Amino acid sequence: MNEPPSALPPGVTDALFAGILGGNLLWIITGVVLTIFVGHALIVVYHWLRYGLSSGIMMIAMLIYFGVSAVLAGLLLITTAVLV
Amino acid sequence: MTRTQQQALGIEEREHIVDTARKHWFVLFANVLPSLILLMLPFAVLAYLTSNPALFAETPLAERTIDLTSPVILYGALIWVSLLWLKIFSVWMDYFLDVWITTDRRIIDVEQGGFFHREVSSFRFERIQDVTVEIKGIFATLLDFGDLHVQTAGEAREFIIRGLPHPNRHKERILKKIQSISSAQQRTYHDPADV
Repeated sequence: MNEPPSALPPGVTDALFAGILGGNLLWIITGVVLTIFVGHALIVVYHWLRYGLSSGIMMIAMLIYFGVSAVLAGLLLITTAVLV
Repeated sequence: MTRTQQQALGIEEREHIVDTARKHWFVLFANVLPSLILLMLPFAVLAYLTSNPALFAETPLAERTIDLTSPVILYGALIWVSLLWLKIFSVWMDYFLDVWITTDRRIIDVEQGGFFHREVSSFRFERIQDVTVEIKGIFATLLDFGDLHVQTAGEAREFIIRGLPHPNRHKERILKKIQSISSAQQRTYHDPADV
């Protein structure tokens, strides 16, 4: 008896597909969010060094920015680990 | 402001910065408000749904309970909050980098439009022909902020400084400066020693 043709592309097994849809997908989403975080931080630091280095308010804002971002990124990593 | 930053803005070595102004805090608040509402929205909706189970009384969702402390909800909330946090900080940075610098010779207007658009315009006092203040809306009237339109000679160009706090005060200061420059020029032209 012939098996019904698979909807998955050749080389992609059901197990791999299930893995992506399972825990791996969460890590991918977390990775994308963290990449956005890092990219944003690099742009912010560039603007800080170029235009706002001498400003005290900017310095405080940078501390708040990196503090809050680090907490959010840490919580995101912990939650992903708990979920997976 | 460091000398390098001054040079980047075209400020000469003997030029002195007299005043630095930013947009009114209400402009920042109005720009941040949509992100703050978006930040609160899913939490408010979830809180409303969990506190009103009667809404699902006759639906298949009635048998399911929403746990606000579950890791899945927390994960979604963290992603949402993270992205909006970046947006809010970008708005603040845009606000902070928009600056209006008055020196003893000219006015420098720095307009930062997002992270990748920066426009620096400067105009000397002696080239200013007309200064107009525009205060629009109830909040602008009550909190005293508005747009300052500066018409300069030579190029047919009008500079608009938006959301400036106490625009009338700035206008008066500019007009006084123009007056002192023109009277100094008149003294030079009509110096009795030259006659």
